Amino acid sequence: MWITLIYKFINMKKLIVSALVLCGAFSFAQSTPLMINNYSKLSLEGRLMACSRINPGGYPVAFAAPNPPYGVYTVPPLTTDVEYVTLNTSAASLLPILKWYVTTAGGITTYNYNDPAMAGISSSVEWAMYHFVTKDDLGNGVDTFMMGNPIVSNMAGFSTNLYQLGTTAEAEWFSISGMVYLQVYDYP
Amino acid sequence: MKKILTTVFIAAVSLINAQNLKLIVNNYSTTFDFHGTLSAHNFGGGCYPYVTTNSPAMVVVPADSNMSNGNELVYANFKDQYLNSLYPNASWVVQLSATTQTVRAWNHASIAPGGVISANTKWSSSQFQMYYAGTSTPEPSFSGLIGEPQDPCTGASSNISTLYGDVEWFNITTGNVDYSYLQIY
Repeated sequence: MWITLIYKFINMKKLIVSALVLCGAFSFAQSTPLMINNYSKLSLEGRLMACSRINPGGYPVAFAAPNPPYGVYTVPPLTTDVEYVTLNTSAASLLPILKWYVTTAGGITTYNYNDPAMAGISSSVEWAMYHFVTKDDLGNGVDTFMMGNPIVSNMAGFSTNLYQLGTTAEAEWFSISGMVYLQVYDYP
Repeated sequence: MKKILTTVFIAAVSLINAQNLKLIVNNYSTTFDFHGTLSAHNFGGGCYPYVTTNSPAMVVVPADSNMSNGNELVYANFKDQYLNSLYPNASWVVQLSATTQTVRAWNHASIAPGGVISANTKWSSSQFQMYYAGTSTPEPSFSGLIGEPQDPCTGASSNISTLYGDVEWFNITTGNVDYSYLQIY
């Protein structure tokens, strides 16, 4: 009888461990990755921001440094599947972000994406805003877009839109099952 | 070991996004034309995206139009239905949250096959009204909201019985394709 009980206990433990491993996999998947799909023929140039949904001032407020070789954070024309799983893994993307400018009540600090401090910052923020100008192939600006989750971006003082229509492009910001999407299309 | 495999298997199944979906409407009634919206939405947590026919809002499948005579409605996805279906729908209402709603033409990149909206939606329901065949006279007692059962996003029934006829909604998976059937008798 004891042997059966011990056997059952071990079996139970295995089950719990496998359930825990799965939970881990699920909670990782739910840390709101960001996916940018630029289906338009325009280049998107601006600032990408994540901030806290709960802290006053939205602190920490993290802005992406320009992705090389650009001077500002840029998504080239017809570029899709640009994914950032977390801020501290942002180099592992089609458009790598190597540094983050992080504002707290104490001031602004520049961190490498893999700085130990970035793990904590990453887990306390949500994707909030991509404020960008659409530019044609001659480099002329066309429209300004303030895309983002207004509830989150307002914490840092930015008004953003879930949908915006410009003169030659339209954009929408939405989430499906925990993943945040920004998609830009040519218009009309 | 079996338990562990079962847990993993259940988890794996719940992660799979249904691809290759098809909606089929068979109107076997010889007395009534079907007029109804056709909707699809996300079943992976939350109800959005939520996509509904827009032009026409009420798609018409005439009496006696079904797979026995090749006149059934077949929608493979939001785009190709316009090119291939007998009952094309030129635009869709796309809700991405409770507060954002846009009308998308059938060929808009937003709802193209392979995009995230298409990949995260599954056929869900139809708000319908039956009309006497070939007329604009509705039968008030033959209408309803038919769709996937136990769907908190719609509250639809999967079986509706009236004095004038019956409507049912069910799924069949064959090969790689998940078929949603709406049938009127």
